[in-house]
Amino acid sequence: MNKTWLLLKQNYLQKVQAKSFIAMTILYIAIILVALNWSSITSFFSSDDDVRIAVIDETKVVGDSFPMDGEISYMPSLMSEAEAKKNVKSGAYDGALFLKDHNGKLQATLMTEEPLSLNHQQSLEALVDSTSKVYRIQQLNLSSKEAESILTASTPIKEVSLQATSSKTTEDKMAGVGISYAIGFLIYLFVITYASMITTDIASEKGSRVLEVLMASVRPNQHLFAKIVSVILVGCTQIILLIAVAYVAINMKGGELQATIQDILSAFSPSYFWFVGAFVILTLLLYVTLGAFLGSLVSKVEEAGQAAMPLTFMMMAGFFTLIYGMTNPDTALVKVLSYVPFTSGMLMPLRYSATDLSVSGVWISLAILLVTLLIVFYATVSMYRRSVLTYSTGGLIEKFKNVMKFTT
Amino acid sequence: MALTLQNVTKKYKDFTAVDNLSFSIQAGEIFGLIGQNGAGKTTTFRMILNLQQTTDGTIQWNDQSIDALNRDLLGYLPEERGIYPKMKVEEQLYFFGELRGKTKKQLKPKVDYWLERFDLLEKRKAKAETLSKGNQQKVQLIASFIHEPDFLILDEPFSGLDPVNRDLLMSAIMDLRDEGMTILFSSHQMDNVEELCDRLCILKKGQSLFSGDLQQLKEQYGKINLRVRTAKTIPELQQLEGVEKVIVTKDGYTLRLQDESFGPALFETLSSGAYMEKFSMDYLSLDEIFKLKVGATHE
Repeated sequence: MNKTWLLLKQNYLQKVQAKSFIAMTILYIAIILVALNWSSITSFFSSDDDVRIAVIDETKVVGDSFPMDGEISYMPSLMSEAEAKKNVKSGAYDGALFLKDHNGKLQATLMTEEPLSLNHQQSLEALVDSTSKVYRIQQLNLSSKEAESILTASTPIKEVSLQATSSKTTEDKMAGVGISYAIGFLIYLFVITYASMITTDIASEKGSRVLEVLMASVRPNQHLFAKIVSVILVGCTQIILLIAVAYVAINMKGGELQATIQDILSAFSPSYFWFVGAFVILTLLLYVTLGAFLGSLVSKVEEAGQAAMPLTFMMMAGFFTLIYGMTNPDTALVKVLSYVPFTSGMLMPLRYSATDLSVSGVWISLAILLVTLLIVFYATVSMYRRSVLTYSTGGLIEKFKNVMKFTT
Repeated sequence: MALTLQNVTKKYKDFTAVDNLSFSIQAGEIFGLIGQNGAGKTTTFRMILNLQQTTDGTIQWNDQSIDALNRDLLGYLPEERGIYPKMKVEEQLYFFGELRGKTKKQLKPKVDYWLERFDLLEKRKAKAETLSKGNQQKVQLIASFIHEPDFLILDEPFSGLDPVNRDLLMSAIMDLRDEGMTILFSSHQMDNVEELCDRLCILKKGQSLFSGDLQQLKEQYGKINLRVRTAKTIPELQQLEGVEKVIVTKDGYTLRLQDESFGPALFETLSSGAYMEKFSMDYLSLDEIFKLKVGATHE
């Protein structure tokens, strides 16, 4: 059997059968299932605290604005203040809302035994706010239609770009920000996991001196290649598994969630997903190759975490820029880092979907990433045969110097 | 000659690890490479294994460059042991065997045989990290030759082994030699080298102090170790002609002679024609020769 294949198979099977991998995958699956069923879960926990509020409308005109069947049940009432107080105290109502006229403006007073929860308070405030506007308009003797037209008036901006590319609507851009954040987060998670996996793996083989035995029978580039491919395959196994679980769960649940997700996905062109796929794979390859190199520098597995640190920092830089860029993807920082190969995988999908960037920009960034990957891969292969057999102390830079010193 | 090193040199930026080293190993023999720590043994092994490039000189296997040697014909046990700690003993042996081109079917009888011979049958399903150090070492040794290589390199195979396991390993190595395997090994323990190999090379700071037949090396010094049991005192012994040094041992003295030709005269003097319980002339042990050689050039 081919040696590379043998190493690859051994490493892949060892990784996917590892308890840590299985536990991690189960955890991710649990997170996905919880996220997809979030609304059912929250409603299950909040179903029993039905909030009832008595609405005592002295103006006699705005009471209808308060619905009886929402998150909060607003019950119209003609109670006096004393009666309301008694009812609230006894728990018949969670609160009583008094609406009065004060110099042509609506005045609202809420009486409760215990303060309302934050989200109930916020929804009540929003309702009172809009009702107060309606009330004020009515006081100006406008018809209700006229009043409504004022409240619902909005002017969508029609954007005309002078560039040849079709300009995206604000909704598309918002969806782009959302999904690009999700993709960036996934890249962050997977790259950190798998880059440190390969660093630890090679460091432990080096530390236990297995590597020296292996090097006597296989060429260093065969070993490196087998390591990188097997770790990428482990990553793909996990991603495919998670996508499959999510797909099945969404289809089983069906209904609104499925429609929403289809709606979001349909906002993107297939080319977006091809680009994202390319960025994910290339970024993963780049970091895993770097992880392999760093792993080959250290002398024992205990040093692997420290060795993988620079990769984690680069990833964090990309991720925090992504978070910063979500509010404004057009800033110079995001633009620059979307061409830097170590961060482009996280930032380019954002710029492609949430700004009016042309396709050529994406291609350029992808090309830079690919060229960097090839250079890093070539450099790693040429260093690897020397670094795997050099054991030295000190920091990473010192180790690197030692490799150069003792092997040339 | 199976393996030939000619004027092999390995230089790093600021020091020379191996300096103009030459020796050759015959097919089917056990050859010892001895030297202190840092003498250049591991570097030499790594150059033979093509893990490091030579700065100068040639390494040949059967009159061809070592680069051309099929890696599957090599077996290697590094000084610091290398096995997968989390892998089961049996899996480990199959993995290394398959990596060197054998099939599981070919390996099965070998794995069974060696596990039994090394008393590891009960441990075949155990993870390597759970084994004792001696057992781990046995597993590693089996892994290094399970594919029946033509040429086996063992870097310090006996370090850290108890006498029972040492004998087990030693007899295995001799059996492998009898089956035709060419074996190169290094050791600090000279008694192991003396027992196992016919020819050897002594390294010091990358330079060869001797390379060739062990018996010839001993003959170079001659039979200058004289063990005696006598009533004479140390000053008296030191006065005797031809005696260079007197060493007190548990049951008498060991006299280091200037030359073995002083033997007959010393016998006359010490016995004075009477019965003598112990008078034994012998070659120096390899250990003594090593100390003399390495010590003599100690700056």
